[in-house]
Amino acid sequence: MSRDRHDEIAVLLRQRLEALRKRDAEVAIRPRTENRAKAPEPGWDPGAALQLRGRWIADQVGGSLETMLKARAVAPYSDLLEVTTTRTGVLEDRPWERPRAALEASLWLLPGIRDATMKLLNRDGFRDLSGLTDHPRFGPSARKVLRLIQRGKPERLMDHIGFRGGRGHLLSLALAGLYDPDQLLFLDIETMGLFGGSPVIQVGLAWIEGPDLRIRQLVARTPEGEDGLVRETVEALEASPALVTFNGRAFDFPYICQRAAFYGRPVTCDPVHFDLLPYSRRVWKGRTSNCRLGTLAREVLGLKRHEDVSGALVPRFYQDYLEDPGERYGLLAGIVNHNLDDMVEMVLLFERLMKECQGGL
Amino acid sequence: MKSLFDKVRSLETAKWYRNQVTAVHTIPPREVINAPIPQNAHQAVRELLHARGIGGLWAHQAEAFEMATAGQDLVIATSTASGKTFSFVLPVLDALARDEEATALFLYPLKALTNDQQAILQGVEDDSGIDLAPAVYDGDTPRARRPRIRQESRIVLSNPFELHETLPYHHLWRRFMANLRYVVIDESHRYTGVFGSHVAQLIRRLLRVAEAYGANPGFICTSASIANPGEHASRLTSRPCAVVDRDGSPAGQRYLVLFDSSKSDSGSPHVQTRDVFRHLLQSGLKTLCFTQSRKTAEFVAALALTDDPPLPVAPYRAGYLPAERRRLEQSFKDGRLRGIISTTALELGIDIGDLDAVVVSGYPGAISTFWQQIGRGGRRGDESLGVYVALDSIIDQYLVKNPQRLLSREYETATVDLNNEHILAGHLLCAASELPVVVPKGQEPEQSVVKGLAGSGLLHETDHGYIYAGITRPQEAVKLDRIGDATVDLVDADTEDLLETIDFDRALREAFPGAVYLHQATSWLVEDLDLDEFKATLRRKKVDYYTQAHLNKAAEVLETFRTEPLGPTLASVGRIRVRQQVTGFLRKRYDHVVGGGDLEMPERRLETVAVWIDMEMEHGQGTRDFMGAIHALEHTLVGIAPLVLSCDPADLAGFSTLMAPHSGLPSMYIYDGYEGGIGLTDRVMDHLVPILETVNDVLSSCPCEVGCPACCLSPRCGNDNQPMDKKGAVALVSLILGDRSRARVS
Repeated sequence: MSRDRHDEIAVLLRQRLEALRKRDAEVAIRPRTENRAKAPEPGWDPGAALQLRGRWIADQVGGSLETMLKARAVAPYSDLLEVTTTRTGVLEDRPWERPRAALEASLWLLPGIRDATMKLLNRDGFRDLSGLTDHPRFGPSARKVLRLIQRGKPERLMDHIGFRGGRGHLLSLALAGLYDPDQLLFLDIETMGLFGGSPVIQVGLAWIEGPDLRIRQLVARTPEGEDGLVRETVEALEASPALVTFNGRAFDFPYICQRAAFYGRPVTCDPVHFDLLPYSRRVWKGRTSNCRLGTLAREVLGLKRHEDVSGALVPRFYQDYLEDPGERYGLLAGIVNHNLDDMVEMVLLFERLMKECQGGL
Repeated sequence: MKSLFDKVRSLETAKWYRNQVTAVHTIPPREVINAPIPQNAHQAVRELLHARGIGGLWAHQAEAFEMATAGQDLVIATSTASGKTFSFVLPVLDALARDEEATALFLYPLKALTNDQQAILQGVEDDSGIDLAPAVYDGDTPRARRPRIRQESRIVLSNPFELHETLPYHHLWRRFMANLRYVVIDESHRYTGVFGSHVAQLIRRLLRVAEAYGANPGFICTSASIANPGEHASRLTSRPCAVVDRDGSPAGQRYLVLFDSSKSDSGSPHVQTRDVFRHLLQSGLKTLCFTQSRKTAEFVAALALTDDPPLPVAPYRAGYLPAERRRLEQSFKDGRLRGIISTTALELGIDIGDLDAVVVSGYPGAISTFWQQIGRGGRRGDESLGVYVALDSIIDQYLVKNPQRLLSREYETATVDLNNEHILAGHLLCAASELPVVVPKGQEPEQSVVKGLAGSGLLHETDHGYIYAGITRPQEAVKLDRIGDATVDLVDADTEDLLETIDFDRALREAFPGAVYLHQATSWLVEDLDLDEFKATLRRKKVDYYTQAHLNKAAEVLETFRTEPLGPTLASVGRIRVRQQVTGFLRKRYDHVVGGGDLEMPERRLETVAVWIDMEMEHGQGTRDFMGAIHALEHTLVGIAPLVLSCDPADLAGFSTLMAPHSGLPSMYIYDGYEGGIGLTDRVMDHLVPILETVNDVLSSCPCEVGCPACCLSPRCGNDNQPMDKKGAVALVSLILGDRSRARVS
């Protein structure tokens, strides 16, 4: 008797939540968290989703997620798997120059210098900051900015450039060149929700090693695995001086912080964060159909994906998988593969943007 | 100058006056009880008092200070305008002065209160020299200003609705949470019934988060006078709260005028309310008029504004948008408006300056609320005037004839139900999206509820506890002022502007196509109700009729908790399922039906807790129409029970039948109007005999022949008060009470 009642209460709540989700999907305006770059999902229709689901389940091989993905358990956690992938030779060996010269030549970094002043200064033979150190008006600030550059203080410089030229100014991305490539951590997460109160399903981490790309994907086989997944991610963040994401300033990084706090271990590190979304907007806005990662990969990088998966499907497929993991692990495998595509595209987009930096500063 | 008393008497010379004033009671002034500034008070507290020229405190303020600083959680239950704000500000200031990291959260039941309070606290900061950075953090706080408040403010003023939304983001509040020293819950008696039960769960969520950051805040609640301030505050906060109720503040003499609108055979009660209101305004008194629903506020305002010349007044209620509200508050303060007609939204300590008179039109649902509303007059301790306009409802008529019930101030009980499983389930979901939830073994009903949620996949059990595994924000699905269900937006057909948002069920009853809906003192015709889009479209239109929905109801018993003999009948309490459906409506002009139509609305199901009385066919022998007698008895019972239970009349509902599904015999049900029940009907069962005795009083003392709104006609009846047998009801209640009723009559 009472059993039924509690089930019924749960069903009522579930219905109410489902109605809200549906409304959100229809309105397609994702409040707060999801950015315009991710939100409007063209081509989202239930028929296509059902087809994709069927395909992913049909494609499952090996009898288990572990076998299919060649995944290993991550000790000491339960229900946490990792998949490591190396993509060899995807990057040029030395993909970008050190940006110091570009920084030092940017006179506009000094307060009071805009286009007109810069032209005047150039005419008078001032070409870079070091030439200005004895200038009566700009000397003090030139010395200050030079010190930041020479001491390699990217976080301060990033704020400084952002303040002078906006978040999407490519010169702040060029700061990434101050790091050795293997110091950069690439991050992209897949979650059950958009608001940080739902679990993280999967995290993709990647590092550049010479021309190769090493990718480590952490997968929560059940929500039980999330704690370990978040812990491993935070450890990676803490070990990395710099972070690269696509829309991670609004989504991935705060989401991980919220989940870490959920498990009682607030994140204390604050890595220098290169979010590729504002740079991409600055460079390609109006020249591509939209600014989603998949679109940029297709239209700018000329990459072709096996499957362009709508982000809204990820949580639903994961719920679907959880209902019968033994028979539907293909759905989770599909999510992991989708994340792998995202990771590779993000790194290649980063490389491309770094080239833009050198061409366009 | 004419005294207030003379101004009251001058009512009797008004052209429209028909001997409605049945009594004028004088309430003697209250003497001041002073207390010294506590020895242990921090220098900052002394400086604040010094700057204000305050040499000492009132007794209750000093008592509250000593208790709070000694670490005792407490509730201050003194009268309106007794300096309650200072009672909690002083201990908070003391704590924040001693520990420069310490923070405090002030919760108010309504957004409208926080702006005034913020200004007061800003003054406290200036006068004490302690950095408090008080800030309002609610739905109106601009996004850009939020991070700074989270990082710097030491006193945050908010409301439960905002807290509910904010808790999942606790990591952004680390500094504030880790140093949380006090939680102040102002107007805590407002958290009763459904709202109170929600807020009690919310407070538990807040404490869980605070604990995760190592904080263990103390509680200071303030309450109007209710029967159980300590018990209520303790249930609300989950901490034993001591009661401070020795009111040391002085109060001026007060006149309470009892005005029985049923004495006049011309002019509706609302027209008479307007007449009284106008008379007070014209006597030069700044007057606040409380009505008991939005609808009547709008109606009385419409009457006042169409007066010739229009009165300098405006309606005010909670549904208004913030900017609109603030404009009204301001014009009343600075005197451009001389009167305000308000629902209870204004009762809650909003500072509108000094008032001379208060009109309470209709019983506000609780004796304590009545006195709180009356108490809004005469803030400076001067003489003041209160007029109670008794409407034609059952309770009003009972009270105006038995004023000792009002004057003896037997306050009602405020309820918090921690066992409503619908409310609990919603908050467990929210909690599990904030921190993992661990439910100790054997703790019920939490264990069963959590298991049900895990079974549906919304929660997932992990080593850390249960975690939320749904996709949408559960906070969005859990509304603090209701159980379950959606709301409907009322939209202006011409401009697409949002007029207001109302409950789904209320929309079915009041915003069906063809309904006349009153908003901002004007009538609107509902053109369309789209239940898929949760939207009703209205067009402003002048009409001279009103509308009333027709409801089809059925009830069945699901589970019987206990049964007791009641005279020759049986009274039971248990779970029932009520099905109801709006099937049509009537157009009425001055209580006469002038039209109507059929409606096809979805059937609504409600599972709740009820008390029902099972009867035999033979019990109807003394009645003309047995069904009509049960129906009349049900109406009177539902009408008068809120007086005993301190609930909103809309919280209870009834249903009568000659053939109950569980017995095939006549039965009358009284039930909680909320999914899962909120503990009201348990108390109906406990007080059944005294309630029925009051019912007997009401029915047999009412001079009407066939039933009137003062005894057994209900404006909320979905059957247009048909059938109705008042005398039969008297016979029936006498039969049920047996000796008890005879004893009373003799």
